[in-house]
Amino acid sequence: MVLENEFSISTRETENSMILDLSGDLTKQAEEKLLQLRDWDKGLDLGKRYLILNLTNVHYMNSNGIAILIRLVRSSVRGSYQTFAYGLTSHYKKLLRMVGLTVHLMIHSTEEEILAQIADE
Amino acid sequence: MDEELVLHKEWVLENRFGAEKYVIEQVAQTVYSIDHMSRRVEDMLTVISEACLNAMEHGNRMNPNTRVRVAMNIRETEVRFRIYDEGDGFTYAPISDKPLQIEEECTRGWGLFLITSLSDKVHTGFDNEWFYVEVHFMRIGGMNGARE
Repeated sequence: MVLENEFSISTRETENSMILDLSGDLTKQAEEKLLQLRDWDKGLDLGKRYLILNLTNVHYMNSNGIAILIRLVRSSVRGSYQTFAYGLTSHYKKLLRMVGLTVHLMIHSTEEEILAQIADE
Repeated sequence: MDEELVLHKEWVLENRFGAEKYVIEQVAQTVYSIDHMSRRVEDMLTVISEACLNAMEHGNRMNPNTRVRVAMNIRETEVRFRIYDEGDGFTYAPISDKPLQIEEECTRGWGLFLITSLSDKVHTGFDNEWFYVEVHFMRIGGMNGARE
């Protein structure tokens, strides 16, 4: 019987952003790994202004996962950095739009689009 | 008048997170095999997933000795699911689409909001000793040449 695909995170850095490569199921199991990776309220290292979430390898997300994203984005508001995401299916984009998260979480199709946008800012 | 039942299936799940994924895979295969053009499958899968999670967490209080049941009925113009748990039930009330206030700490769960928003009708009830949430998905135009 299919159970959860283990959630994992790896990180990358650019000059002005931190990129989180997420994989597995974005569900309750992801809460501790993601939200306790660092103190998200305190901003990003070296004053970086952008957090980029790569969700290309997240194939299952439920309301608990959405709640985790909300908390992460809330921290970004407090920490004065902007959060982007890419790699979402149309359906998950719709869900995030429905709950109102896309007002604060900028969704793009690719990492390149995001990097191009923040390079111009 | 009730429409003819095209297909009925049921599943019984262990009461643990992740078990709902088996059902949603089965539902996807079944619905796609009947109507490969269905554009509402992803909505159905999210609704079933959320209803199962609610059943496990709130209905069955994560008791591993309890079960969740999922029943699917496919008819010409609609698909219905019932998600059963062994709990005491709750009184269903539509969730308002209050905008997310990102500054506010909020313990609100989004499961019921997604269930209500993605399905065409929701109601609850008891069937013997099982509490259920029933969700409906209307299929405009019916099975053949369906336009959704």
